[in-house]
Amino acid sequence: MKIMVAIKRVVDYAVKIRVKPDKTGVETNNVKMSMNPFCEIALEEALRIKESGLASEVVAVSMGPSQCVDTLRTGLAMGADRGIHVEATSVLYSLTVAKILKSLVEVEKPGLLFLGKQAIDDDCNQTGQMVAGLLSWPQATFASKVVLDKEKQVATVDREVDGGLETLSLDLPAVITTDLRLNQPRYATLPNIMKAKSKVIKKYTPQELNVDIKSDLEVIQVTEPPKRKAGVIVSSVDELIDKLKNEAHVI
Amino acid sequence: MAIRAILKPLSKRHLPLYATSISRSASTLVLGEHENGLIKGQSVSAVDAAKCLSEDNPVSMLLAGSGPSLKEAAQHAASCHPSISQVLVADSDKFSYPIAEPWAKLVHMVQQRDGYSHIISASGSFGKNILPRAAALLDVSPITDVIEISGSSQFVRPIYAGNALCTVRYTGANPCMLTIRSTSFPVPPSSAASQSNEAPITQVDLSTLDEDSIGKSRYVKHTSQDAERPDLGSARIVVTGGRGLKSAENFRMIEKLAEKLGAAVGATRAAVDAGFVPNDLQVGQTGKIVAPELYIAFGVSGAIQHLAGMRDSKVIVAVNKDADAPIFQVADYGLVGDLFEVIPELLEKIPEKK
Repeated sequence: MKIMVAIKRVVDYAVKIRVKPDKTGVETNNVKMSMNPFCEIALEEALRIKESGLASEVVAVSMGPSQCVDTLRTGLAMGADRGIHVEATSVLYSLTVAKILKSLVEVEKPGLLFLGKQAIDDDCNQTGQMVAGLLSWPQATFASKVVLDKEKQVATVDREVDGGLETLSLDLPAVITTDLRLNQPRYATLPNIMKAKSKVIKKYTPQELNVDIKSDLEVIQVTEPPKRKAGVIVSSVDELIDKLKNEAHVI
Repeated sequence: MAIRAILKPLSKRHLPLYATSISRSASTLVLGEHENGLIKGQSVSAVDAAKCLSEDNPVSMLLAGSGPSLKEAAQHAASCHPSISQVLVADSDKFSYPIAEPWAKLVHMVQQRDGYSHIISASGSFGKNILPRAAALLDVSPITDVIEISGSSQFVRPIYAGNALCTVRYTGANPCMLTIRSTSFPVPPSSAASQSNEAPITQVDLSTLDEDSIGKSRYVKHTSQDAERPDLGSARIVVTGGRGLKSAENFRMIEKLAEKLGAAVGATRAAVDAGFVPNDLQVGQTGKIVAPELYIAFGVSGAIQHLAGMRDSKVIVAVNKDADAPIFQVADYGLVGDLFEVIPELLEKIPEKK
């Protein structure tokens, strides 16, 4: 069985982002970019499944500008067998990404499609659900544990839901999106980074995959959130209780 | 009038009301989440959000499930918000558990028949799981976690963990699909209580439900966390502990304090990863988003991802040894001190809750 993993290049999670003065978006020039943390977890899970002998190949997919190849190389250095880059310069919304992934699934025919539960830039939390819908595949979102039964072609997945955990059993092929708790992604070692340079990254354009990249969403503006007014440092528990009681009236 | 034939009326009255409502330009379907025969508060918030789309906007609430608890939930839905003009009920074993595949098909089917202009759900794990799948079936882009509605097609949502706000316009065909952040659309408790009008309840005819892809996933079990305290998402006061608590035992101090305040307990990712508490208590970009009246953070540094989940709280209190911790930049009241001394003192001095 082949596993496909979708990975996204985003502003590094530790960067304090800056909104552009013209309000068109967030500054991404000269800002550290990395693989979306949830995508790292998705890739790690795919690699672990392969290493346990339940999958034969892990294919990493990314879409966006040419720099996405760097993200794919990182994925290949972690252990993915090969990469696919769908080059697109315009903004890709979830629906388009889901359609591109659907086309790639039809070409590659994986038994499992892993994605992160959300990208930490747009915070959408949509793509996995959408591609599952388009493919008519079952979905398990927010996965914190995945157990594969190769004989029965079933994945049993623990999902992090409000108020606890839910366990689902899915017939393969299926789409799984990963939560933070699923695993601890590995670091790429230097020899693996060197090896990754010789791995294949195939290129497509959305047109070649018959996906139209027009969108039904339009960003009007991006602004900074309202600032909180400066607080006060109190010197004792008594003062704190007094302020909460008599100034803020919350206790 | 095809809808009349398709939707069998459960209660005979009020059908004309429904027939007129579909000819209007704005009409909204709210995906209702229910538990133990009651509509969840966040689904009621979604109805409140629907009200912001346009003044003249009949709201239908769609419920799915099976058995007596569904019936009770439908009764509750009929009177839980004055804006609900009709309750649609899909009663089938397929909906015994909120699984995405049948739910998305259901939404698709109901939309194809009734042609709503908007479909809304709260952005809890239920809505986030189902709504994007349904949107893909309808070939429209959904909009996640809306915090502000300015007109019927313009919305504000946080991006980059709440560090920027993005205003988006939906330019596509009907329906426009949203999940809303329920803390941004609070429902005053009084509006739920004093209800006189009851919306009609209509059963959805499921005979034409397209079953392709249903049954490929099966519900196995649900492990719920102990929920004696108020729900984290809707609590008035939240007491949160971070890595500074050092151990699961020490976390009990947080729980005791929460008990005394009638508060919910939250945690940072560090505290969850260290095994102090289960992960459904995590507050932040990847956990719960809360906006209580009072948020008290003990031993929390205030990482970007954590702030994303609580920065909209009305009053923020931080107790931390490190005077330079970023949490102090958002705190209304900060106390630089050792939480192992501060918490016992608070426990002693805080007045009993009424």
